[in-house]
Amino acid sequence: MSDATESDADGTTAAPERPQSPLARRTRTFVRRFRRNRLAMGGLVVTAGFVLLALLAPVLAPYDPAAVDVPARLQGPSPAHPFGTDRYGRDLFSRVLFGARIALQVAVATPLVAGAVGVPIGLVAGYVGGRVDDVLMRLMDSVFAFPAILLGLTLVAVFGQSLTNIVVALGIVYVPQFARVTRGSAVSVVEEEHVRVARSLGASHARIVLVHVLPFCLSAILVQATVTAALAIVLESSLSFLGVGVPSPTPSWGSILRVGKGYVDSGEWWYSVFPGVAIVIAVLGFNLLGDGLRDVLDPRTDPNR
Amino acid sequence: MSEPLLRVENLRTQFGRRDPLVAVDGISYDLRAGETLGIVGESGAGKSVSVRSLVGLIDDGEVAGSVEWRGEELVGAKPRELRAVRGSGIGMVFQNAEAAFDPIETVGRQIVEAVRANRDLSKRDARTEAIDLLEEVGIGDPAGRFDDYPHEYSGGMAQRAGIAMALAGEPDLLIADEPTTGLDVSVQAGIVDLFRDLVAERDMSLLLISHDLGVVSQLCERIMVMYAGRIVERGSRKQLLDSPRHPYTGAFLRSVPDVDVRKDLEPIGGSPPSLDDPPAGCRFHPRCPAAEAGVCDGAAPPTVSFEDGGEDAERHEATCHGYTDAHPGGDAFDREAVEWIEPADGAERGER
Repeated sequence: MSDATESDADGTTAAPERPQSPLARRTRTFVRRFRRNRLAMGGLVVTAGFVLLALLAPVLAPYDPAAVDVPARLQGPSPAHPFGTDRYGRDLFSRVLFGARIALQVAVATPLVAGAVGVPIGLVAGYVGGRVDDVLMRLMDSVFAFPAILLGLTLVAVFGQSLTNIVVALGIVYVPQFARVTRGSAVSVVEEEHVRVARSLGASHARIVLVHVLPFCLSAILVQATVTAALAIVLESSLSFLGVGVPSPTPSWGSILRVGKGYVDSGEWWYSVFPGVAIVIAVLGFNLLGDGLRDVLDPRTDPNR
Repeated sequence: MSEPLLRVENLRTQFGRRDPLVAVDGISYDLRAGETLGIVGESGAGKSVSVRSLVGLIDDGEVAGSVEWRGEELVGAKPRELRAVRGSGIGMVFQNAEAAFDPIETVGRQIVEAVRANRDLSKRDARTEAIDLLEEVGIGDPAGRFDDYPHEYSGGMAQRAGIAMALAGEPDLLIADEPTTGLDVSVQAGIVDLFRDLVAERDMSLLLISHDLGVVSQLCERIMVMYAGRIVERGSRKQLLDSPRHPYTGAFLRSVPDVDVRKDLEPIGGSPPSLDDPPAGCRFHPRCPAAEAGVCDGAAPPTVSFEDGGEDAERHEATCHGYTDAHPGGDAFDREAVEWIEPADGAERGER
């Protein structure tokens, strides 16, 4: 851009009043764009609702999710049990609420684990380039080549069944995605003039990566994190559905679904429908939020910013 | 005379191992404290690569030869040593000023970062210093513009801010690579004035790269003309402008427009050679009006020194066959002015 105004030659252009700090201005722009994006707002509302329900589960649940009441087993939805009861007479509404806590933990922890490993790999690959890039990314490709569910299954089988191990396993499954996304952004910024200028000013490689490359990648990483949160919920549910998820009696949506599927033919539909719907809504919320964030954070997708 | 600040000897930069592209092919020069040196030439002559090679900013190529900064060898130096020279010894200003800044960070904070990377100052002191720097380079209301993002600066202001950033480490040498290209002419004039003031006030050396002979001749006492990776002529500003000795320099001068003189411009026919397969002999011979078959396309041309300009310290040299006996000569070649001829193979100087 070389549009120089008249006042430019002597550089005396008066700055308009700007009382706010740069960060405040940037945040304000972000919030404004976010609020104008219906997709993002919808995703935010759904996700916020999900998080709230998960956090407030102990308060909201009418019953102890593990409380067995055999005489009341397999009851359909009623005012006393809005989602019905399961084969031991446990209240399904309470169990689905508590299942949200598992889903939330998975949704938060998995991207953190995957990002903690994948982002540094992507940064190094993208910044150093050349053979290092090739080796790291082919390694990521080979992890990526395994179907997620198969890799998750194998890892859980190796580590053993526990919530922590499942999160670690899911984290490993999604490392390549973080590495790829980070590398993609890093590669594009490394070619930028300002990175060369930073080096001409005596900045070290570590400093350039932390100050110039990583911040540039953050928006892509954030979007990836929300998408991964959704995928992790699905994958955890799938593992639980296959019986290798969070060990019972902890209520996970996937394991409720697994047991409930046996009762579909005999007419106890509520057993599987409610946990299934919960999964769909939670995943939808994160996906909408991710898509919305991507649109909001990428200036090119918004014509009237 | 004092030791030169920068001594470049036989600098050679090539890209690619198989079929290497030699972008800079053996150039040598000295630069003393407080001196101003300009490198002119067409696009692709290797000007930018030659200065980036000085401080190890060539990532995918190989640099050979010798670059001494205050007597310390930089070619093959450790990254840590190079980093110490970059910024605090040698500052650089690049062509695309707005792109010189990280778009997601404010101009002020980036200058603060540059200050702190090179000098041991507290955050508050660095901020004060950054505002002083912005003021020094002529940004109006520097404190108010401190928190602006790069895209909120106009082209000329961004270049001023880029210069401020290059000055953050208090360099002894400022390398400016096409600093005025892409700016309006009126803005250009302001930047040229700024460079002149900075060199005078900071007692700094300036190495200016430009394809614009006007800008170079306004700022630089000494000028080198580069063609296809080699230096074809060097001398003082007066020597080069008044009596260009290399046919390329002459053609280059005739192709530059003048404001007050209505003259016919003569574009140089053809285009610069591709550097992965340069012409044999003198690299300018395919485009040279005075080229002589069998001479200019054969051996590498000798370097000829001239007695002119009157300024004793400056040597005026051109690398051309036209002054040798093998070449028929002609109006373009004033053989009376020749002082000596140094054969291209580096043998003894022969008095003519």
